Amino acid sequence: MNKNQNNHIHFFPLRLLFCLLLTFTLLGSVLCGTAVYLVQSPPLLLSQIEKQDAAQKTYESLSQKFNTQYNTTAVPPEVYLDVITISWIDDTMTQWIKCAYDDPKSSPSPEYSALEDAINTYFEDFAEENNYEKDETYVNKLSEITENAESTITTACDIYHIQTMQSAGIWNKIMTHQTLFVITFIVCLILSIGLLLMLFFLQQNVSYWMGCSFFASGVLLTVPMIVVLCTKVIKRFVLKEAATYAVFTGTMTYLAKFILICGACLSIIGLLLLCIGIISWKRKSSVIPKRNKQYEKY
Amino acid sequence: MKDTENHSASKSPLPMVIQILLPIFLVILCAGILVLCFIRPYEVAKTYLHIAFMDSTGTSTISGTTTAGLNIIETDIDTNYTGETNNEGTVIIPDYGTQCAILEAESIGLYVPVYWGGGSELLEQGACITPASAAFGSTGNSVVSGHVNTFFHDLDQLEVGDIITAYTTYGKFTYEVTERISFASSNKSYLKQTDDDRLTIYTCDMQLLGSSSTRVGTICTLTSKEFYETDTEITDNEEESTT
Repeated sequence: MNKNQNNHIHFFPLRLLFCLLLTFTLLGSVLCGTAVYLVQSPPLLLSQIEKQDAAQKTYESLSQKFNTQYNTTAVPPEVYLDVITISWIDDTMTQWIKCAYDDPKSSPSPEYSALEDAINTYFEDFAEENNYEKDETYVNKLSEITENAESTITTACDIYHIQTMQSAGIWNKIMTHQTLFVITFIVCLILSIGLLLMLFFLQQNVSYWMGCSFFASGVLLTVPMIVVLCTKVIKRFVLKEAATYAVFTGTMTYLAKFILICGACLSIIGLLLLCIGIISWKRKSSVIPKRNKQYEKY
Repeated sequence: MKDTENHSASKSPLPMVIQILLPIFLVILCAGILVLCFIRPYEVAKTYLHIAFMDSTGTSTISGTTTAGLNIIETDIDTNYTGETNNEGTVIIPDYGTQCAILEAESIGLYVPVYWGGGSELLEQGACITPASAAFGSTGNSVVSGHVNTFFHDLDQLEVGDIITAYTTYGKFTYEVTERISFASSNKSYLKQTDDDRLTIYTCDMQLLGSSSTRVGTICTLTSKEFYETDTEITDNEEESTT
């Protein structure tokens, strides 16, 4: 056994360890990168609102709710729906998300003056037509109806249920973890580069060992995402409100596809590097004996 | 001598089989480590994940309208079953949004389909039995709600002693009204599980203006259970074939 073979045997566990660590750092880089992309800024959530036509769906849902409530409130749905337009809902949704990203503890105050005027007018007309005296019951009911309508619309416009997450402390926690996600992402990237450099220092067939890590991390990202997408587990999401269901499942599907693409890219790069590594090993082992034979002739 | 040394140094240090199997081994090793690392977090999150992704019905289209995950299924329920019945039988828990029963109270002319679930879309179709409550025929409190302006308009006219019948695909269950109740919408005490077999039916108190915060209804005690023998057998066979 010569010196080089000895070196290889000694360094084999080390290379394998570096490969293993590189696989995890690559996995961490992709997953933390995705988390940073999701948490750092609102474009993904906003794009889903537009893509899933969430404002239209919310308007339809509100229309249905107010129609149902008509039976108990006696306020026709048109009173609300004539002042609440699709573009107003869209603006409120956008404002809600931007506000939640700017300050995790705050929630926006939608402009309800037009709605309040419409409800007031309806109540006044109703009282006038029925000769109903504007007593304490009238004032209380008017206040109750206005609050109920505003609360219903606010909840419907909070498409990602940010208020629920804020009250449960989840949103604040996610936002405060922004820095942690960024740091983890950077650490994973630095570690990946460091481990690649270590493999270079250990010299022998770097492309093969890099290929192993890239391939493993790619497979570990791709396979679970294929399972998630093929079993349609995301479609089994239980929230039944059309708009919320659409944006949540849309966002989850987008992220799953994003990770799937990253995993597929890593797998392909890994396979290519593996092929290069194996071929270069094979070529070296076949070229040298030929040379030796040529030397033997002379 | 030097050439031979060069030759052995440049020769592939790993056999071809190992070169090919090593990446696969690495995948399995990493997957194993990840599985081990995620066992505990998965145990913690399992319940929440199960609740969040429990709807097995998926998105469907009913009468050309997409209901975003809610699949409302009408069920053909035989209210004139004349076959063999049994006191004991299997209760079938339906999918969310599926019609699971027909509720009948002859004294007030009530005849309403009952859906497994809740929400405005289902309440438009009929009454709803809360999935957190007991299914008809099983032990506990079966909680049914409906709109006062539609199906449960005359619910307040039910008197103590009136008979209410729940027809399901697997049996017929008869209840007797034992108590009339009125409670605040925030009061959930009547909707909790009980040790006895009972049916709680409630709706909103009718108001001229403003949504009512008062709920009115009845508590009924189970007087007879009649599980259909044939239907249960068919269902058992279906379940067996499914599994």
